[in-house]
Amino acid sequence: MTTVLPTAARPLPTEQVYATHPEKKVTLYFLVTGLVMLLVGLAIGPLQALNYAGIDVYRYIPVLKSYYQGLSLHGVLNALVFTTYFISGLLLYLPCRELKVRPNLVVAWTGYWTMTVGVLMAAYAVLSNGSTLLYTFYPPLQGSPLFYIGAALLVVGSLIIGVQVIVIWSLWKRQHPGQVTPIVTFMSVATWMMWAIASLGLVVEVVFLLIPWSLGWTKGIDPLLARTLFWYTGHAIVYFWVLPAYISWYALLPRVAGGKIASETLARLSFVLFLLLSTPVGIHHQFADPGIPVLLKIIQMLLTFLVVIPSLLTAFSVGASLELAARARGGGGWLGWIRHLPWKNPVFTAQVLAMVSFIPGGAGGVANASYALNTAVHNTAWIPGHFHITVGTATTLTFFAVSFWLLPHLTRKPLASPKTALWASWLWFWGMIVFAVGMHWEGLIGIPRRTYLATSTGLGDMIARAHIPMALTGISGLVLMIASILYFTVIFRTLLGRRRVPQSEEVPIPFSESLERSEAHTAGGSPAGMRIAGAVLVMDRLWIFFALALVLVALMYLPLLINLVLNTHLVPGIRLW
Amino acid sequence: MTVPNQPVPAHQTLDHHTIERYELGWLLVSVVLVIMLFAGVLLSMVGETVPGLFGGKNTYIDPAKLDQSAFAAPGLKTAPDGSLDAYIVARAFQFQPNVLRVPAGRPVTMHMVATDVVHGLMLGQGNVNVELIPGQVSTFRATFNHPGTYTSQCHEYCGTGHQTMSFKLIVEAAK
Repeated sequence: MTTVLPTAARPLPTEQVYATHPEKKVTLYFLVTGLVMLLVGLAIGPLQALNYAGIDVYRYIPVLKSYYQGLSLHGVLNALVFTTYFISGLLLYLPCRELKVRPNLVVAWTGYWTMTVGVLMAAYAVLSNGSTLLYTFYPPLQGSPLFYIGAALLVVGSLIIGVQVIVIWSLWKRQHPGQVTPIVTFMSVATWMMWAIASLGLVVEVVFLLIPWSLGWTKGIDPLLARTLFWYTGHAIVYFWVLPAYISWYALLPRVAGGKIASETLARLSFVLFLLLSTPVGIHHQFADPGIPVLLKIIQMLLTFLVVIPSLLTAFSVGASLELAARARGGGGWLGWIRHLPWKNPVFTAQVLAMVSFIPGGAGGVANASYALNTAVHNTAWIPGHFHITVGTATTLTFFAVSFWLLPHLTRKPLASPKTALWASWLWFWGMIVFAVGMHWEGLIGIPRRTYLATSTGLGDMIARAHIPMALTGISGLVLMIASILYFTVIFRTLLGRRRVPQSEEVPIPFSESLERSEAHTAGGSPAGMRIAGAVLVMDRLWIFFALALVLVALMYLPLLINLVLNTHLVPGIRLW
Repeated sequence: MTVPNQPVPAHQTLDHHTIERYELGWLLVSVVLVIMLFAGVLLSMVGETVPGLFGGKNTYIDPAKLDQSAFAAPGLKTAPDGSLDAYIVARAFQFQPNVLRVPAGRPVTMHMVATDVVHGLMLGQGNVNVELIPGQVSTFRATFNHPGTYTSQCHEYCGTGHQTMSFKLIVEAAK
């Protein structure tokens, strides 16, 4: 599946940007398609925010039949479609370049087109109001078969890329016995392995339950079984969104900042922990569901808390590498070093802001995962408040940062306006923080999530207590709209720019060196000859952890799923929109 | 990587072994934090912050045959021995009953179910929060101690009328 690249580099005309690396083109397609989907999703965002300020804009937009149709588009495009495209492009390209192998382009393009056909089918279903199901599509609300088939193809497309990367890595391991997998590849393979396990629930739900049922082949569906399969994937998918951001923070950002990866061993450890623990935690989305044993809810609560550990490790390690960078740039003092970081560089600043947003985001996640607190916030506006500062900022703003260097790298067109990019990043950050304050607050008052609040009846006394947070939410929607306009101005001006720099001036991929390797280097030894920690060698056998992860998830889910399958209670589908 | 304007190069003060030692310490702190968190939440749950968590039971009832069950006439019922049972049915787009009066300070056994699609309800400002899945009956005991009127609304998207599906819990002070 791979080709080793020719090493001799001869100068090529500037226009032939893809000649040496044709995988650049497929990567560019993944990224740009994802960003265009995001553009559509973001365009609807201010309408949702204004709805939570009690202002109904939907009635002036006849294209959208309802608030719920708009929300379905917003959620599906931003959270599912944009992320999947962007991650597939990024986590295909980075490991291939790091291992210096060329992916099989037919496979890569097959992945792209599988996804794209799926997304077009699902888009038609949602745009025609045939599947106003929100992005959780809980049955027995029944949408068009096109929606479910499209969703399945989106996931299958991502798995094609994931399997391709895992195969590329396996072949590389065979050709390089005794060598440790480079860190970005290690992290990418761990992420894809996690996704291969995690996506099973959604694939089974869609392929075996939803598609046959929506086509009329089966006469009913078990809503609890479907929900359980959905949340099997539904929580792990958030790690699929956040791990690519972690890869960038751990292994790319240090070089952007002018430093080193603080500790490679622990960085690898955190990805092994994510591979093991990401999936068997989904029940914490079902604390309020009847029909699921309390003991299982409590065990999965503990497992969810354990996932906090690799995130805390990441916070430490990334913080340390930033401090190293700042001190190398001449910074000093307890906190004085912070101002020595390259704040004028949007690639740097956007990622640091993304990390900052992840601090309250992660803390809120701990509240959601604890059974007792979850009861107070389950299905309230708190929840969208939470995921807009996690996937909506930690992931999305990091992807913005990545696009600021990766699009120029792929196209050799310089970033159109770094200053505008910086403004877009800061406005996105503050917009999301204000949004999160407003939504968390509304949630604590008891206002439910995803409701057409502007026309709701019966929440009078809550709304009377929510004027301030509702105003904050509305204002944040407008700030985010400006941030989106600035961001896409930069992106399109970059992509449509005429000027290409010569190959020698290409923006490099900021693969960073670890402190371990750099010390070995300065001590006189070559990095290849350095003593490798035993733990790194153990962790490099990712298949073992893949197998362990499968065992753990089977323990946590199989008994419940078998019980649900043996006691299915089918109810008919219904369309209520 | 010596920096001219700095007396001590960064990598001599912050070498990888020092950082790794700190980080292992941090790992230990994280593990302890997580254990404390888990223990804290468990203790709080044992202390009944989530009413009916233990001893609650789940049964299934065919949504098409609700009229042959106690859900045929939803609302609050007093058994001959004085114990209270409340039956609530959720269907698009209303709860039956949509106003429930309960006496403050007395345990009520709640029985809640949906008939058509998934609905959801939070009761009494936060401690009772249930997903209502067609046919899956949620049964648990709850005591509402603070008199007052608590409004809420279906919290799981159920269709175009979702935002009109409101509910009112009235906790009445003992006479």
